Order: sequence, then structure tokens, then C-alpha cells
Amino acid sequence: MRTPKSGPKVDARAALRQRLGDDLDALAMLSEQESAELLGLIDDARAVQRTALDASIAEVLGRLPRLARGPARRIMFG
Amino acid sequence: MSGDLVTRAQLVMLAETLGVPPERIRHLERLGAENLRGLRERISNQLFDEQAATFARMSKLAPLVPNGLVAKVSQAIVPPLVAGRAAGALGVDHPGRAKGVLSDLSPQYMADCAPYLDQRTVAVLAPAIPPKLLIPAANELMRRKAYVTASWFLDYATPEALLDLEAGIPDKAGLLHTTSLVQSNERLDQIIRLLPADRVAVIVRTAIGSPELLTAGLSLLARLAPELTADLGDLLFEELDAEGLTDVLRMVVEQGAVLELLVVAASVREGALRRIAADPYLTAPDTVDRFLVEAAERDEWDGLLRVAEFLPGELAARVNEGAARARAKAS
Repeated sequence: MRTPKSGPKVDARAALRQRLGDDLDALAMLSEQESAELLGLIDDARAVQRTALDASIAEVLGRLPRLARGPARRIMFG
Repeated sequence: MSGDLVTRAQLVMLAETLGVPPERIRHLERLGAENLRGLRERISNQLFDEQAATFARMSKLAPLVPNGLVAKVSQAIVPPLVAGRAAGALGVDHPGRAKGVLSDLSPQYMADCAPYLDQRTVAVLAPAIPPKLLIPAANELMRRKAYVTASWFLDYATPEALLDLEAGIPDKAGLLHTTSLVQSNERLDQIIRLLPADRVAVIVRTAIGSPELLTAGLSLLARLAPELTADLGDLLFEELDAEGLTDVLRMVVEQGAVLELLVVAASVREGALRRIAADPYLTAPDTVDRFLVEAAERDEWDGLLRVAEFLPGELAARVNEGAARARAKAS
């Protein structure tokens, strides 16, 4: 089981409702601990996705034809 | 009703969305299929929407990169998690290129990416993708026994695509597993009605191949409209000789699929009921008692009472009295 991260005590059920929407019936069936765990798993998934996306963008830009790299970098990073 | 397989499928999909093994969230199974689906959709939507700006910028790169290069670079260096996540957004922005890119991707890579697609975009894109591009990936999913992932493609496939997919997938047992995991009963009815009866018959007959297939087959039959359950249930029982029927009934008990059998029995016709009622395994007192307990627990009596009409007198009385007692207690 996931251990909730340390820090100030928050209402995980309220936080999950705020994150996913008040109208989701499933959320009312989750305990505080289950809500905290699920929030943690969602945050982990977000972090994994962000890291994988950043790494892939960098790799893809490196593989583009030389002439396209400059415009591509400007599109991606301004 | 008959939701166990579907609930487990939704749990697997939620686990895939979160990137954890299903065991990690097994305790959420009690939420049921519908709630798990709602939860997964919200989480999935959030994960996609957070990256919308990045996907929009990636989309602007499209004119700089030819299809062949997209496919080559993706397969070489882009992990399926990223490719799957980005594919929907890019496909919606550049529908004319989806076909070209997909035709350059290997079925293995497409199958790797499939669990990470945004289902909202699949619904938009599905009608524009020729099934022949998807059939090799679908066969790869069958080979991997990735039935849960394959099942949600059935949710969005057009009627033409469904016909082509059925014809293009030789693994009919895999199709039975996949179809049994379709989330909505209404969609399941649509799919079964759409496919030619002789093709459905081939798929349903695979149910007698193994205990897992039987569970999938009975679960599917129990979720259909009664007239479809009757037609396909009759077909399944006709397939069995006396010994085969005994094996199936034993498997039903061992696999915990008694409820599904009772629901099917409530719809099948007299010939099938007579054969079930004459089976030596079913008519053993222990088996009858087990069926009585299951029927009482789930308050699902129609099937058992219909079978009882053809049981020998003493056993029929035992079932009828058991049902009367349980119903009186419940009320």
C-alpha cells in the first residue's frame, strides 16, 4: 500500500473531488486513505508522463533533418 | 449482473492508465465496473488535457516531418506511453495523415501504443481509419492475449470495421474473450446483431474449449437481450454431447459461473433445459444445493425454476421448496 506523503494534513477526499470533479459517484465510495493513495498514484502517473514526453521531444528533435531542427525547436520551445 | 469479468477489465484499464500493476489497486474492484470506468475516464482525460498545449505544439511540427520519418523515428525512440498519448491529438489535427503514418508502423508497435490512446480521440478517428490497417495490430493484441485493450476498440468500431475485424481475426477464441469484455450491454447486443449469425456461432462455440473461455462465453450470453441469449445458448448446448455437457456444468461450478448459467437457463428453450435437467452431475444433491445457494444469494431464480420443470419429481420439489423458502425469507 502506498504511504501518503508527509506534510500538512489535507483532506484527500476533497482534494480528489476537486481534481476529478464533484459529480463522480466513485469518489464517495473511497475512504480518506484510499483517496490519498489514488491522488498519489495520479501524481506519479503525471510525473512519469511529463518526463517521458520531455525526453521524447528532445530525442525526436535531435533526429529531425538538420534544416528542420531550428524551426522545430522554435515551435516547441518558443 | 454478470459483471465480474467486465469489472476486472475496467480495473486492468485503470491500472494501465495509472501505470501500476492491477494488484496495486485490486481493493478498488469493489467499486464495480461502472464506477471504475468513470474514475478511469476522468483520470485519463486529466492526464491528456494537462499535455494539451504540448500536443498542440507537436501538432505544428507535422508539416516539417514526412509520414515515413514520423513512423521511423517513433518506433526507434518514442516510448509507447508517449506515442499513444500523442497519437490521438495529432490524428485529430491531421486526419489525412493518420492513414499514412499507421501504414508505416509495425503491428507490434501499434499494439504497444494501444493501451495509452485517448479514447475520446479514438471515437473521432475510428471512422476514418481503414480496418485493414488495424487488423494486423488487432491480431497482435490477440497473440498477446491483450483482450482488455482490444475490447475497447470494439466500443468505437464502425459497423463496417466490425465486420472486417471479425473476418480478419482468425483467433475466434480471442474474439470471444474480447467481446465478453465490452463494457456496455447495449453495445454488446449491437455487435452480436451486426455480425452474421454463422460467424457468431463459430465464436460462441469456442466457449467449450477451456474453463476460461466457458466463463467468458457464459458471461457474454448472460448480458445479451433474452432472445439473443436463447439463440446462442441453444447453439452452445447443442454443441455438447452428454459427456461434454457434464464437463461444462462441472466447469461452471468450479469457475464460479453458476449465476451466468442461471441467467442463460432463464432464456434457452426447452430442448436445452431438458438436457441440463437430465445431466447426472447437475442432478447430484450436492450440485442442486450449490445452485440453490447461488440462486438465493443473487436472487436469480428464473433459470433454476425453469430447469426444475424438467427435473425428476423429488429434486424438482427440493428446488421449488428451496426457492419458496428463500423468497419468503427475503421478503
